[in-house]
Amino acid sequence: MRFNGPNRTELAIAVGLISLLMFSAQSMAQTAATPATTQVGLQCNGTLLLDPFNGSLAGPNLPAGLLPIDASVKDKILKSGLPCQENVSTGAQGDLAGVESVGLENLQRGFDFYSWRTFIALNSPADGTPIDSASTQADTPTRWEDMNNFKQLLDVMLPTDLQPPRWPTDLNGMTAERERLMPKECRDLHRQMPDRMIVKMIEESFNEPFKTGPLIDQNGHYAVFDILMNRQMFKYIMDHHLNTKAGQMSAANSDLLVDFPPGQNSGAEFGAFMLKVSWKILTDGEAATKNFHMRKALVLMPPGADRPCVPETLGLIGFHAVHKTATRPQWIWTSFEHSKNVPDKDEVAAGKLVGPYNFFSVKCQADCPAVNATPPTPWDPDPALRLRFRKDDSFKSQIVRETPLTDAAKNMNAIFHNMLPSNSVWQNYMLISTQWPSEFACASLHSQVPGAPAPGTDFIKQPDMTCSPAPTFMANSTLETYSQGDVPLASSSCIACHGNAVGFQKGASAPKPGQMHLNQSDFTFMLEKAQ
Amino acid sequence: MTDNCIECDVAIIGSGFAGSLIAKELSQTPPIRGNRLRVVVLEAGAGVQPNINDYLKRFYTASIKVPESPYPPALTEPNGKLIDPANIAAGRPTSRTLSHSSWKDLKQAYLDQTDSKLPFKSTYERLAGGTSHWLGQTPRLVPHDFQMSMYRKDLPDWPINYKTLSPYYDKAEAELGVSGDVEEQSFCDISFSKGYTYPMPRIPPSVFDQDASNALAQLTADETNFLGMGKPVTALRLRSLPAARNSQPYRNRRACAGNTNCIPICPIQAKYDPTITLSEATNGGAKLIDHAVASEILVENNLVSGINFITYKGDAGPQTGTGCIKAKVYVIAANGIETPRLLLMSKNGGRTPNGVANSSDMVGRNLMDHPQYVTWGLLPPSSKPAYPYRGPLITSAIGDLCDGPFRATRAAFRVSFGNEGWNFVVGGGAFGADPHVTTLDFVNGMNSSRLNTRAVSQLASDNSALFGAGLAETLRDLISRQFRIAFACEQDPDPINRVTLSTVTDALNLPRPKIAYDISDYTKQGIVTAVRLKRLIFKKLGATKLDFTERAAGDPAGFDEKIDDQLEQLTYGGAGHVMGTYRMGDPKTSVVDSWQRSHDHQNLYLVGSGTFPTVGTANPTLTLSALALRTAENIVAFFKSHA
Amino acid sequence: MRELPKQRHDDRSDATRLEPESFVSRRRMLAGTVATTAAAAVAPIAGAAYAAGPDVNSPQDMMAFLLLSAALAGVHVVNLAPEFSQDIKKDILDQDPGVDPINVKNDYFRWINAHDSTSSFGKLLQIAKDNRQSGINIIAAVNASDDSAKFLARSIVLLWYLGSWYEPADLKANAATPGTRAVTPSVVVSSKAYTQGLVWQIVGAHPMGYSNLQFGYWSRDPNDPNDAVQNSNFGVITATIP
Repeated sequence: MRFNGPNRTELAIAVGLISLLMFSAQSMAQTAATPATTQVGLQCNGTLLLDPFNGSLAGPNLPAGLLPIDASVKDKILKSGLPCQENVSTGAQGDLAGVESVGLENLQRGFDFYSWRTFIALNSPADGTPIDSASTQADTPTRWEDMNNFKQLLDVMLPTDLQPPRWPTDLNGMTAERERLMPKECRDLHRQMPDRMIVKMIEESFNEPFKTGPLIDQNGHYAVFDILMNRQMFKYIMDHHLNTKAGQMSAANSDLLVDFPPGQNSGAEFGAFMLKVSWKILTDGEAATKNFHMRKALVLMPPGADRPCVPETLGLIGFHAVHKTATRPQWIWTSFEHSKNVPDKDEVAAGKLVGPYNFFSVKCQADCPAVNATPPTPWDPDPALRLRFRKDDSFKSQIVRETPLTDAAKNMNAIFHNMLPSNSVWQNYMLISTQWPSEFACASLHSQVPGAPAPGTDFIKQPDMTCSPAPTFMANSTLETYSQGDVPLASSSCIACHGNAVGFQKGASAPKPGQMHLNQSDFTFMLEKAQ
Repeated sequence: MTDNCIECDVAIIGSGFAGSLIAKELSQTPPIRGNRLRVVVLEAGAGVQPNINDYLKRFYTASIKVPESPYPPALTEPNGKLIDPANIAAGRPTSRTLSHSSWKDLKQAYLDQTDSKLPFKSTYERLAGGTSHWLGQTPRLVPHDFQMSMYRKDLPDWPINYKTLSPYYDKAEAELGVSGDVEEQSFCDISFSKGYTYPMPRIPPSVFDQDASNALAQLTADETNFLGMGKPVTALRLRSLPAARNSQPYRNRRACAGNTNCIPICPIQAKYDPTITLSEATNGGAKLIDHAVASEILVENNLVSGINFITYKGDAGPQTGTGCIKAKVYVIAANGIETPRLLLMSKNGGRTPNGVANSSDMVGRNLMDHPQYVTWGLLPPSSKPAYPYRGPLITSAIGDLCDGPFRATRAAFRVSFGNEGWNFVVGGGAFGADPHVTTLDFVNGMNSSRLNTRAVSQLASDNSALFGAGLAETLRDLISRQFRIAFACEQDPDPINRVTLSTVTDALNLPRPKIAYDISDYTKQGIVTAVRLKRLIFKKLGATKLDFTERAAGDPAGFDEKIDDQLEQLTYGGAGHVMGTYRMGDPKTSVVDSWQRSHDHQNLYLVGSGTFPTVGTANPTLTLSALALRTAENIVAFFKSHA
Repeated sequence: MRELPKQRHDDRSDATRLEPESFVSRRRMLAGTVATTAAAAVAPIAGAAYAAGPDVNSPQDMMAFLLLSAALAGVHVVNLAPEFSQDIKKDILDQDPGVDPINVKNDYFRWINAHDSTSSFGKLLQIAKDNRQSGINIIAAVNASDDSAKFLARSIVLLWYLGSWYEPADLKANAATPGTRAVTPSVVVSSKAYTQGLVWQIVGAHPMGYSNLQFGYWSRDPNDPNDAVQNSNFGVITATIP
């Protein structure tokens, strides 16, 4: 849509004033004053960087002559680092000719560009080497896998006897915490090879959300899921004692409106960030192809009488990245997948299958399992089988993507693949889409729109506090396998579902007229995992 | 029948509440003498779906959103015409066949009510999870409900009392995930295990609940002595109803988001439904066979020796084959109409001409519901609106009136305050549902709702047809003041009210259930008292002149009563509760014992609300769940003690 | 109501883009401080014959449809087309109706076109175009038109309010005698349409089976008692069309 706002200076002043106002309001409402910046963990880049590509990406074909991307442009983008905040507009992108015909498509393109930048930055080597360096391998540990930057949910929501979780800033401190939380079943193996990733499984590590079912690959192995948070999210949880159920239920928290810190360019604030990843157990043959980003790991099987700690090579197959920003307080929901996970519905119908796929067999004939059917019960892993679903490998999920990627997403993927080295493991990963709340001044505690309706009343005023997510539905074939579709509320939509997330806070819902109490947990299900 | 029968330890017919709970308990029982119990569950209808996309889509696109609308098999053609139940393999009653033109029409109605005095108005589902369309309310029966002979010598007592059942109530509440508050639920002599708390805090009351409670907080003894409580009643407290509805995250399920759609389907599964427990049962090793309709229970030497079943494909047939199942213990959990149907159908080549487990002749008899007297009105313009269509369908009720000396002469009732406005009551239910009917009235100059008169609408003319701001404001004003209150009355057992077999069949050639049903004077007097209470409540709400309660023309459940010199046209609705048809008690006059085990066949259990000898006023689900868990214990004990 | 900045979605001001001065955000429109469209450019578009019939891809037809619907339903255009925003320098018919993630307006336009057996849709769009300054005039003109158009207009209002389609002929039959009590058949257009029904929002609620609100909301008043009426849910939805 056409736009002409106030000039940059005016806007900066306006925003600055608002930030001041909001800061003071915030310090009244909450017990701990939050310092403006943290110097540890991931740093983000608050500099504006827009998609510089010419032409429209929304059609079936890439604009002629767009590829290959110029080396300097590529360099700038690949090294631009983690965006602190999205920069989107209903109008053109960085170049006037880089424009779509519809405002919504321009916004989506801006988000998809931001998503790729985020993916590149998070998956760049943890040691600071650029992602396109020749030394970067398929198994080079990434920044998000570094214990300085992200912490697994299960290492935060600890049982009472292991509370509280610690996240020191020095390597020794972090290593000590890792040792402290090392499951006894894994200790010996860990000593043999201390750099392995540790994945501790619970039911949600193999059973998709709301117990919709496990996902079994073409080798008959379970897919494994993990959830991580960044330091800013961790700090908020600890500052407000949300790391235990008792803490959430304490009197002090009965009026807390859970509000994780937002990312913003101003001040280069990273804000709260959460990850959900899916892994495939790689055979030696699969590992040798280097088609997966992979890590050697120790996988502790779910609680039970017998909890083997199993050494595996894990291949990344799914990547949800969720970032809260000041302008999108319903968070921004990005999802990537391995390109060879599944075919989409159109490809299947047209017979355009280019196997092998991770979760779809092209070879099966009349004996194909029903498409998108859940595995036969029982679902729980058998410790004797480790991470194999059945002794005879008799079942393998046959999964099809119900909603093909849009042309715009495919084109953005093609552009970034063009920028990455041709032998980069990241050629094998694609953006599915980015889901974002489309009604700008929607319910928030950090709305940057001056004069937006007061936070305390937005939740009751707005008939849609999810703020009309765009696109309306979104599903990752490995993480929301069984709830793909386009039926409101039943089919996967990040924001619609996460809008239902609540914690354990107590208190009357309407303690006094006009005063409000919520036990909503700011779009994350993490708080309900507190013990 | 083939000799290739499925063999297992426990065969369960029906995967609803009772069936799923028992399946889960048994499949999670530690091995007995080295072996886990092999459990097989037969389900007449569809199996567990990977997601509710289809069900919810069916619901969203249904033009008439009755309780059965999301669930297969489809009961109507795409053009809305009802499918002849003779052509459906595992059919069921529908809310759409309760009108005067349909309830006795065997080409429309699944139940044969051709010889019934009054219509049995409750419906159920036949698919994995059973009657998942339930509301989710889980109140307990109160202690005196188990001992009705204290009020009427002719009424049977339960062979189990509240105290014995109490720990099983606790267990059922944990399994279903009930939100409630112990202090608030301690009325009518209900007591809880020491230190007990509900699994989750209560669901907060709606704005209307709060306002109605205030309006009823100060009453005089004179105003209320018609209630016959035996003591002065100076306030009627609305208490939150305990419900299997999450108020917090619970067992990986989300908390209620107030979708106002508990019946028929919760879009986010914040309301418990038995597929949850069923999935845990199958995860624990139980096997589920869907699209399998039990057709005969075989008996040899006084023990059940097998169950034959018919398989079919698709939603409604055709038949694909037959099968049989042999177990050591059999559990029939097919609901209060389908269980007696199966028992009565099982003739064993003439050796059991009255059906199986029926030496008492009580199988199928004493069919009971909780007849609902439903009222609706408009709050006056001067009071705060009711704000309907917000929150769960019902959040609060008056429970204190469910017991008292009056039970010697009239039925007790509970009073529920709806959060869904006139959704299913508008116009007596004869012209469609709201807000569609009210909206249509003011767009098209009609008056199905009876709101479109000057006196009510405050518009310049009757039968207004509006556009624009006037339309929006009128609808906002009127709809936000709509409320409905229902009185769920106890029904006393009468052996004449019964389930037998019809001569008409379903698509599997099995005889459909035949119903004989009536409501007694005892129950009608309960409704009469409810009318009086309605008048009092409406008065306190300022809605006396805004009472829109009416009875649809030709309503087959209609009856008239003179109440304080006013002739009232009354009717009742079904609560969805199907009870009493294989009751527990002593062998001469009942079918099962307090463990729900058949008096006639030691290895046969009949579970569900069919075992209730009297029904009190509480929704039966929690009680039948508690009883099912107790039955599971008995079954485990049976296996432990048998070599 | 508060003054709001001009940008809506846009997170950045960008001096390099050449945009008209006159952009007005959706929120600003709701504030009621919008100048009416330039009074000069209001002559009815005379004699526009609908040879081809209403076209969902024609922004003018879509704007006419939105104006018609807003007038008839008494609901602000932005609730029908959430991505709509107004350039006050241009005539209302030349605005961009926008594309929003749900985009039910396009579904409805197509549906009405497909079910308009009396070719009255074009007539109604013309009425909207000719009377685009005033919702009241649109309503008056609709009420003065022939039965086919009038009852199609009613079907359109019901479509927006409920997501269900009532055939104009069925409405007409039941309106023959004022105050009739009768069943009127209808069909739900789609799951999406049902969830976008406006009547629920107008009463401060949500469609049964589709809530985007949070646990406990029902125990609170839908409106903030500190807010003036025009800032209430209802006030915001029904502020008059531009």
